[in-house]
Amino acid sequence: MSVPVVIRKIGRAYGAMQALADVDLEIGAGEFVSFVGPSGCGKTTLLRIVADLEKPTSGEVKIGGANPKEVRRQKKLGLVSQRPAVLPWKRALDDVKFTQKITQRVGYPADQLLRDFGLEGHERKKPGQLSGGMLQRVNCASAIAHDPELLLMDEPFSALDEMKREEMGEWFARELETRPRTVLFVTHHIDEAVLLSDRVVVFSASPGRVYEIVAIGAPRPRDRSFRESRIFIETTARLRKMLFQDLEAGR
Amino acid sequence: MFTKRSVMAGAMAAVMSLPLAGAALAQDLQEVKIALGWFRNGQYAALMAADVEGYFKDEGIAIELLDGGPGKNPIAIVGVGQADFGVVFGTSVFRARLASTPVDLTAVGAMIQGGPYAYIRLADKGAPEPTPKDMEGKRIGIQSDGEVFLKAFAAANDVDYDSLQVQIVQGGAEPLLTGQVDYFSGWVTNQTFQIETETSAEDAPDSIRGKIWQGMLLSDYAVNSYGDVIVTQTRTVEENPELVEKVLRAVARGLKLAEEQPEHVAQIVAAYPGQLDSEEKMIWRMTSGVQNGLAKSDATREHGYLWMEPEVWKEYQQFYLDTGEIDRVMDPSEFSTNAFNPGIKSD
Amino acid sequence: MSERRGKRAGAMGAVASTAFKVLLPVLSIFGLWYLVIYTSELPRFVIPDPKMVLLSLVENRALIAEQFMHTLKVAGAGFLLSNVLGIGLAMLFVSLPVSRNAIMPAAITIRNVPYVIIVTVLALAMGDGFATKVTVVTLAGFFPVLVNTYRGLRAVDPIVLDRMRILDASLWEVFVKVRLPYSIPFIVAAQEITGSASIVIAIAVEWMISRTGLGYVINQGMMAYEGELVYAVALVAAVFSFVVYSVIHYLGQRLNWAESNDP
Repeated sequence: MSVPVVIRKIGRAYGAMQALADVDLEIGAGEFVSFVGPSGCGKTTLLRIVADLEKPTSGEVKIGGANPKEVRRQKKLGLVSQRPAVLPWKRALDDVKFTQKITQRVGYPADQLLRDFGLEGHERKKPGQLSGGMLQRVNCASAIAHDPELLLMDEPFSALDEMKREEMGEWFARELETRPRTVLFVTHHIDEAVLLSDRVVVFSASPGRVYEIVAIGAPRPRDRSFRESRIFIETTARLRKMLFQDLEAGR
Repeated sequence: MFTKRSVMAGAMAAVMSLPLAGAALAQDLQEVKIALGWFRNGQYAALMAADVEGYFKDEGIAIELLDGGPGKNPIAIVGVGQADFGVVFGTSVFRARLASTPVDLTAVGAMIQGGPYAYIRLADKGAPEPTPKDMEGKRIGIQSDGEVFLKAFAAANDVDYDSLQVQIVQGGAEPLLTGQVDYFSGWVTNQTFQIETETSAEDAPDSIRGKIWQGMLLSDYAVNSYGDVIVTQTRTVEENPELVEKVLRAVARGLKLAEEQPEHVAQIVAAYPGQLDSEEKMIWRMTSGVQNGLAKSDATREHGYLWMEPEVWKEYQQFYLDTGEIDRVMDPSEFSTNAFNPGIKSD
Repeated sequence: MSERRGKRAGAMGAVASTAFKVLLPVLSIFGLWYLVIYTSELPRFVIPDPKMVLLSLVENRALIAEQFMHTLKVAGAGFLLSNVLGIGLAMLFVSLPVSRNAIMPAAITIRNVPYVIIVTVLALAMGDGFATKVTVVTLAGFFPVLVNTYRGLRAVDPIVLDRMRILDASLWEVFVKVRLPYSIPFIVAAQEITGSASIVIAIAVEWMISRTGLGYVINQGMMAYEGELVYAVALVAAVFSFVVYSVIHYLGQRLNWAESNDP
């Protein structure tokens, strides 16, 4: 199950400060779309508007034809936050089950999920006993434990080291093969965005606008060799140029 | 207050008419609450003796003594009607009436005719009685509210106040006993027993063993005052004079009994429920003459126990006016009355 | 075999260390006490011999035990009510923020009124019975609970609240499963303050207005110039406060997610 997302004329102002202006995006069901851009470009704000954590000043979002609030009430949203949103007193396994208890939806067996995230043997540890990277993986597991149809990810792997980051990326890629779902993914890592996405949306800052949308025309599954492919190298180079030259110059 | 209560109590007794209803109600006695200025101890011997001997019962009254204590103010307790009568320090009667939010109480009798407040020292047996002049240059321990008294005492007796080395001390006699001070302000009915006990103890330090105490009463040397004054709401005086009369008669009989049979009173008061003085202290209190002596004056010999002379109240107020503690005086007839004095005279 | 012996030695070690932990303060207190007696040369009626105090404790054990029960009831009821009031108000403040503006100034005022004044006023308004004493203990003790609980309820990481919103948790679920557990370390910290304060204040109130409880025993001792009895009460009160503090501290560590990391 997955849903399309339509973002129409979204604007968001904080007082006199315009964070987002005229953002139009259409995201297909099962599509993986990354948001990249300089800090302050409003990409996290856009994600929070889709998640019904914030209201837009103008425009509207439709998820499978419904308002974000309705979709949230149907417990079809999943959010992987930048910092772990785990409960300090819960053991890893209990934290994953907590999501399932609240939503009354069991997407995956909790223990299997933790194993897939490389946390075998750590299921009964509390947050205080886990490393930062492990904690972020528990966070990911808890965020998708109820199998949400729309997954919103806000720099989810930024606390992980390079190796774990790649492993997590691969796990997600595999997982999306078997159970396709729509994903909105905010990241600073161009490599990660290219590796995982169907399309990469580049935002410009002040106010945040869509600067360009780059499609990654590579077939799935993408294994490690994809990183050496021409598409990967060319696309990342093009995105880098956009972010570090064109957009910087435009400031 | 109490009449209403007794009506209610009577109605309840009629409805219930059970043994549970209580002895006071069963015998149809009027319940009267008396708030004491301090915990019940030998100071209130006359009240307890009158209770035990049935003097209150003779008047158709059952009393309940309400203990005072560090956090209790009998003026306020009588003022709000938690008690029908109070036993208070004389000063508080006119001060309560002169306050910015006055409590409308009237003094109806004084159990202590001269205040027991004194400057006390230790001395060898047979030493001459102290004079105020002896205090010059000495260390004087007083309580935090005692400065006005000491100044008045010095002024009235031509003592050089500036030569006194004044220290603020607690209520106990310890500073005197440890030699921290040479004179100490206390009550001759109270701390003196502590002094006698400690100086005669087997393990008493050499510095105090065998010594005696000597005291100069403030009421003798400087300003006359009344202690353990019985007060009630002015409304009670007006609306229920018979009750005031009854209570005073019982108390005066208690005072008379204490004078005539001090040993007997010591014993019955020592055994009174909740009374805090030891039997030893009670016997000392009643037989040493200190307490009975304070209960008597020329006025009690002429008019009867509890009598209050307007002249004394005037002098007493004048002292507070002179020291700036109050800003005006009242005519004693406004806050005190001898109208209910039963006329039981002392020797 | 050797392992078992090792375990037993370990257990004995634990007992020895506990005994040491209990004995050390006792020894130091009595040591200090004697030191003051011998160095200050103060007479016995100012600072009685610990032997005499213990003797007085034994002699007056029936009186002290009986009055201790009165104090225990007042302190216990006041302690419970402090928590009901403190936690209740904190919950109200968090769920209905306008109530905080309305009630907090009054709470701060009550907290800043010296309790001796509260005692005097309440004794005149309500008499000197159980209700007055419990009310004073409650009014003197609820504030730390209120402030700490309120802080705890609001200490929740906003990112966790985002998660709860995404999962569409009800307000009740957020409260019971997130806010309350988050505030437990804060509530526990408040208990350590309020627990001992309840006892001290119960005794002080009894001393001021009551004819029952350890506070009244102090008055009895003072009236009779029995310094030993006063010290004996102080000893009982101190030991009791210490026990209450320790029990709360122990329970607190068991409940406190911030301090217990046992797997």
